[in-house]
Amino acid sequence: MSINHIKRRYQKDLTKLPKIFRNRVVKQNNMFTLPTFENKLPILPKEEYKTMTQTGYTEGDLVYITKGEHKGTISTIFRYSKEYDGLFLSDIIEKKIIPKDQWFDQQDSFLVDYPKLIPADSVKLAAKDKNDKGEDYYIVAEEVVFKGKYYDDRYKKWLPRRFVKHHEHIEVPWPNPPTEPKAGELSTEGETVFEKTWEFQSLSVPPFPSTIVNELRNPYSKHKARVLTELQARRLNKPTMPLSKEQQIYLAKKQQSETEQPTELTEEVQDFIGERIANHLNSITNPHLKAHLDALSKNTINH
Amino acid sequence: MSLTTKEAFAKLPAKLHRFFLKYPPRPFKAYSEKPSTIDDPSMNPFLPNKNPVTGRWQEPKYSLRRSSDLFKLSYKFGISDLIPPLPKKFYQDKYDNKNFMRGMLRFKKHKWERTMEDRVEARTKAIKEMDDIIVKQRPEYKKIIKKRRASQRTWW
Repeated sequence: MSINHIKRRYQKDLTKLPKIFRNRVVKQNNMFTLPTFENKLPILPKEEYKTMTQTGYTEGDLVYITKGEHKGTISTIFRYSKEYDGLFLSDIIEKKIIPKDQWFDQQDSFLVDYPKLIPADSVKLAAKDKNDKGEDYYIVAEEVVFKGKYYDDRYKKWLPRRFVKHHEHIEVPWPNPPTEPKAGELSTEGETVFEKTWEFQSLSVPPFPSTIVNELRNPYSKHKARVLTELQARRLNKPTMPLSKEQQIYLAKKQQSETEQPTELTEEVQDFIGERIANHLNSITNPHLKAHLDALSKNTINH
Repeated sequence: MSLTTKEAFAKLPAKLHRFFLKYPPRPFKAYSEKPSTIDDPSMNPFLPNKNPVTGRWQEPKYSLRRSSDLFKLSYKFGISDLIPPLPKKFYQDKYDNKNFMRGMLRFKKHKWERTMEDRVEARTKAIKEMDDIIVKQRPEYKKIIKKRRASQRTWW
């Protein structure tokens, strides 16, 4: 165990303290700092740190200030402080007093320009666009929503698409990252990723091309004969069993009893049926019923 | 325009025509109204029939649906009485000759409801003949009756 590790036990970790004690410690610390360097925003515990997809903005984005001294100004995010949940904007600067013993080289005044920390709840995401005439205009998003994701080559990672809530046809693209992401010690090169080193094997995909079968097997083999010999055919087909006497008698009887179906009715029957139908049809007066019966009569046996 | 018999016969639908080829119309061939055997010449194709050799019942040659179709078609052409008798009733006949359930025609009621009329009759009769019944069991009751009659108020 290193000395640094042990030292950490005796250091004050604000994030481990409850909120009321945390503020007290901050107050105590402020007693010994210069009045302009007083820290007014509370420090957040680590669990409450927000990522760029949670806040909805990142460094390089435009924001609109809604509260405080600089209300109504639009500025670019210079840095986001996750510990304080605050923003340093590029144009919002305040003067701070520095004692002479802490002056840096080429400093000639007690007052220096220092970026002002602005709480995150007093800014809204803004975006710049051009209208049809080519004039610049800004939009301010009350809230942002994320939909879908895409691979951003500038950030070298997958990012969600950002839209203005309730106006979801307006997309606010992510800004260019302030610094290009650099490859670390453990990162893999882009080209190496696309190198195929392993292949999924399945029974449904044969390991060899299907055309290789003809090369492995002889298509003209004598064992591949299409016509069976008589012996082979006899072995493959079961023999027809001879009928018993009872079966033969039954079949003969059945053949005798089967009489041929007449194909036409006798004249007498035809006349009888025709007369009955004629009497019935002649008595019908309803034209709709007549039309219905005519339709039924279309499907008849023609002689 | 009146139709001739030949013209009218030409209007016979194929379905009925084919049926009559297998089973000639009624007056030319008799069909039994009850299930019979399959070798019976008057066997009805719309009813189940018995195989006398095996002793098993055969399903009707025509199902209820097919036989109903044949009846309805023949009814439209006025020859519904020519096909063999069906085990089903149709149209108005179905409502005129309906076999109602016994419970629908006469309700059973509770036992006290069923016997009430007789019991009331017996009771009224017993009240009417009360004196005679008592006298039969107790002869000295005659005196009481006599006394009562004597004390009875009259208009005079």
